[in-house]
Amino acid sequence: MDMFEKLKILADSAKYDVACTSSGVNRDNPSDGIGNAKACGICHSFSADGRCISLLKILMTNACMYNCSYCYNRFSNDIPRATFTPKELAELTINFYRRNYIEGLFLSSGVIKSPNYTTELMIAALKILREDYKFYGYIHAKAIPGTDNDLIQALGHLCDRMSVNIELPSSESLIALAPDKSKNSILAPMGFIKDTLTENKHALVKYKKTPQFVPAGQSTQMIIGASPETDYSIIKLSEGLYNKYKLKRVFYSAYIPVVRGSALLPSIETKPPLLRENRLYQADWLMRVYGFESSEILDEKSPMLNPFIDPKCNWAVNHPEFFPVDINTADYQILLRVPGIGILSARKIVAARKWGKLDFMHLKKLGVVLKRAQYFILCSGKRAEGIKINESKVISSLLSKKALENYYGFKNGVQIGMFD
Amino acid sequence: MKQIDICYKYDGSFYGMLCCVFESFEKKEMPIGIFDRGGSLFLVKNIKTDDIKAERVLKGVQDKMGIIGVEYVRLAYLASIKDKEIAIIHFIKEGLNKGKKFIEEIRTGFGPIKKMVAGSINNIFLAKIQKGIDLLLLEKQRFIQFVRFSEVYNRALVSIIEPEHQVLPLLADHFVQRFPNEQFLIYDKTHCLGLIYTNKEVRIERIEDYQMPDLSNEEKEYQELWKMFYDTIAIKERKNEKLRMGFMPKKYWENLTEMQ
Repeated sequence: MDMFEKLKILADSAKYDVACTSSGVNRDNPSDGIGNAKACGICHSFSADGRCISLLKILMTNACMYNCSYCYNRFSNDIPRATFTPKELAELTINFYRRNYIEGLFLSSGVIKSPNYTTELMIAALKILREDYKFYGYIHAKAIPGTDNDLIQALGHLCDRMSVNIELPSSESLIALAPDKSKNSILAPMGFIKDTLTENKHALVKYKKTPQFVPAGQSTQMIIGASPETDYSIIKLSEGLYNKYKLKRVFYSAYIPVVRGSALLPSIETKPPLLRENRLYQADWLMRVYGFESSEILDEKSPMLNPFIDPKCNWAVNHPEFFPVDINTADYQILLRVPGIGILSARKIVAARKWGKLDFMHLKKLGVVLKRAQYFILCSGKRAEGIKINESKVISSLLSKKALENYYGFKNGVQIGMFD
Repeated sequence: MKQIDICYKYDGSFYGMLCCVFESFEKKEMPIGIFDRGGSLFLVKNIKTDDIKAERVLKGVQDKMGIIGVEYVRLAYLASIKDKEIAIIHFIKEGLNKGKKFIEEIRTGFGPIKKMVAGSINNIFLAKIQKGIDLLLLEKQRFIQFVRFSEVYNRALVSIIEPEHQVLPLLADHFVQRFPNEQFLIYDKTHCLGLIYTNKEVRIERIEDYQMPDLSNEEKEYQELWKMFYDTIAIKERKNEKLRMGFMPKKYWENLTEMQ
């Protein structure tokens, strides 16, 4: 099989993995090799779906021995199979990197022969890159559930970020759809990576020469819409993962049907729930950056994110007792809760009010979206002129006309086919 | 400074531009225009480039505004700003009066808030400079992403770009640090400049015209592999043209391997 065909098969099989970020680590090149890494991450291209292409996202092999029913690469699926040799993969990575096509490598794999054997192949490829080519660019590698700890550790010393895919947001769904994986087999390597990371950090403080272990931390991803979990249980799970396993990111991947006629999965005509995925990312962002807790965003009674309003606005209109906040005195964390004020504008407000009292005109200049924010703020004790506050008025300012009808429909329990 | 109906003409270099600043300050006059190519309907005064004068201007800027002031002047020179030389004279004049705080003020758009909102003639020039520098830095970032090398001349890397601003001096560090053992040329077709890195030394040179040499079969093969990867990695159920264009504007496509 020639390179062209192999790459096509193994890129096609890797494309459903969502994480492609190259961020989280700075590494200089001591001038004896190729490449470096920038903590901000660099996107080198954008595919037709608008997603960032930062890394050569590829599988070591798609000849997988597992049969997870949601997965394109399950062994019962009739698709062409291919496997890279470690040398082929390293060479391709370097040649793409030299041409500035990519920021590094995202190496995942189907399970061939055994988890250990698969991981050994991946380690061999990364060794050629790091040792023979002296490659200092970014590498993200998947930890395959079921791999021995010493191999995971060896892999972790060669890459910048590792991830174990949680796949489905509950153990019931895992049993139903991924019979070869279990909650424990997924969480075990995640826990091991976390513990090794902590140890490594301590060791690095003591001994400068300690080899680094996944300096950009670990992440995970889960598939949304293949199984019946609510948004509430999903964001609670994420919150738990952030707290317990110190994950850098949880990625959400709208399920794209790859199986015809399965009783367990959405039908092949189902559109991927992109809006739902987007709302989950927003909720995730609120937890990671804005200091929200999952229980503030959703609860048992209303367990689904309203698709017609973003979760931050939704929280604001449901918590009138929190507002209005005074721009000239409120803390940064409080400012962040105001719809229309983001991280950047909140920071600017804090910096700018040192110079004098801010009024509504200043806020506009600072990039605050007044159309939204005006209902929730005071400037030196005063409301914006001519503002009348009642719930429907506030909500209608936050939404388009069409979204408004749907918003009330959703709130009153009439779901409009969004998650069917 | 009095407004005069005379144009300055200089050689287009950074130091040349600084000498125009020098002339304007020395004669206490504000020319109606400053240009480096072509003619003018107005009377033209030729400004000779004199390193000593240029460095005196830089020293003055550094003393009053700090090193970041010098950086601003340099970046403003690289940016494509309409009447940029005049704007730079205004910038320096204002900065010499106000000192170090001045940069912080125009960078954040803050400082004496009232003045910013009220606006004055100078603020228009300052806003132009800040905007131009922002766009320049954005474009630099874009080319860190979108430069595409082809391997030619037996292992040298060559890329052709068409930037709006003079980004080459800003790209040098990034690519040298990333590829310390390569030899490369990034050719800026808009400004006819080449960033050349060979034998561990980097320089920028004027190159009137440059064409990409014929590609080897191996090079063509890698380009095909990359294009195929690019097409394959997209998920067709998620196609989103608007999103792609927002991140990767069409004006860059011409020189992107994967968009050919």
